[in-house]
Amino acid sequence: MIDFPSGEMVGIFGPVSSGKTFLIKQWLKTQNRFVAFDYSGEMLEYEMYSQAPKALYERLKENRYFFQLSYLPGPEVELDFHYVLWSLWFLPVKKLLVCDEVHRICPVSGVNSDMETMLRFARHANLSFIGASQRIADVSKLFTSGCRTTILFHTREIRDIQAIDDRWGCGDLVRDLRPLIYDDYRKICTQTPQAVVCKKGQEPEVIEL
Amino acid sequence: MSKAKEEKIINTETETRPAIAQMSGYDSPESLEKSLPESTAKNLFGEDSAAPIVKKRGRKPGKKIQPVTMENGDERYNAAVARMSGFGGAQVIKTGFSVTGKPLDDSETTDVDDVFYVLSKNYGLDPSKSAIFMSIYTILLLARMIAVRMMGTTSIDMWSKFDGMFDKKKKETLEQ
Repeated sequence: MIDFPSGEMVGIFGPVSSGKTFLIKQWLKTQNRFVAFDYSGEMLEYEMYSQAPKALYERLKENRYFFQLSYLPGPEVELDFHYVLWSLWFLPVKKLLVCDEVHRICPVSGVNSDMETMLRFARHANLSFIGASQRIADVSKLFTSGCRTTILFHTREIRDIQAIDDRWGCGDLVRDLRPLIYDDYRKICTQTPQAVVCKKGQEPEVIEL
Repeated sequence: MSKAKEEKIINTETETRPAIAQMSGYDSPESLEKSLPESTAKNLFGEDSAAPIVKKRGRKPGKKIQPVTMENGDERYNAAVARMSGFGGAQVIKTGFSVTGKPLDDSETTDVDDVFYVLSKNYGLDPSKSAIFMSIYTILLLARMIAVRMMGTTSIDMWSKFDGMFDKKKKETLEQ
């Protein structure tokens, strides 16, 4: 298992059922202060706030040293993200914001000012960020270039391979990875996946999960 | 780095620089708090919907245990009082039955108000129900048979001989 790169911006990319959410959940077990911006309701085991920015803020104020929360946004995703981001921003402690389906708030077509500020200055506000998406080609380059660590799971999507080649130059490596095989009926993993880890300033590396 | 030192670093508050904090567009946490809506949910007509859903973790409130007093008529309390009444007489009775080989079961006893009642139809001495009594009974029976054999009589004669022995003694004492 890859250790959580604390204090960094991390991107995780891979198709459906490739191991992204599993990896995030494993990392979250080691974290004491995080909010998971949860579109798909996959983090329901944590204290959950659904479209309730004020309640979330009051909870953060109540105990800023320990919070393991999930926030379910409504149809106005960017508005919810705005409130969650700035509620965390002011906390004078190290904290983590997790966002699955990051292309919803950080699309390739362009990012809003909240997202841009976060991508550029999160580390100065002691905010770590994990963004995950199925389609790397749909995510803004501002995010992928800002990631200190990027984890890529196996994919054969031409558009994604091209995007990976364009950004890290390791499309072939990603295409040849061993994919996760998960039996949804029996709820067991029949094949563990490999992933490519791209760290800033280092060569891409294939690791076993 | 030692673990304690590492913990200290992690838990140390690190104030965000004012320039960074202002990037949020809010002057201070207070102004952010004032601007936060209760809910961002909207219904189909664009109006604010009902209260937002908040699911906090934690223990669910369980059934409260009532304090045991005479007033609330707690069954356990009444049963305890019943067993204590008569200086533990209930326990003596129960022990008596178990000694005789017929221990009382729960259906044979009851506590009404603060009085202990036994509803058993068991009779006290039934040697066939207890191994101890069976053995004592057998020994006594064998002893009697041996005694009859040794005296060379039938059992009826043996008792008459015993009576005769006492009769002689009575006569002697009267003569004296």
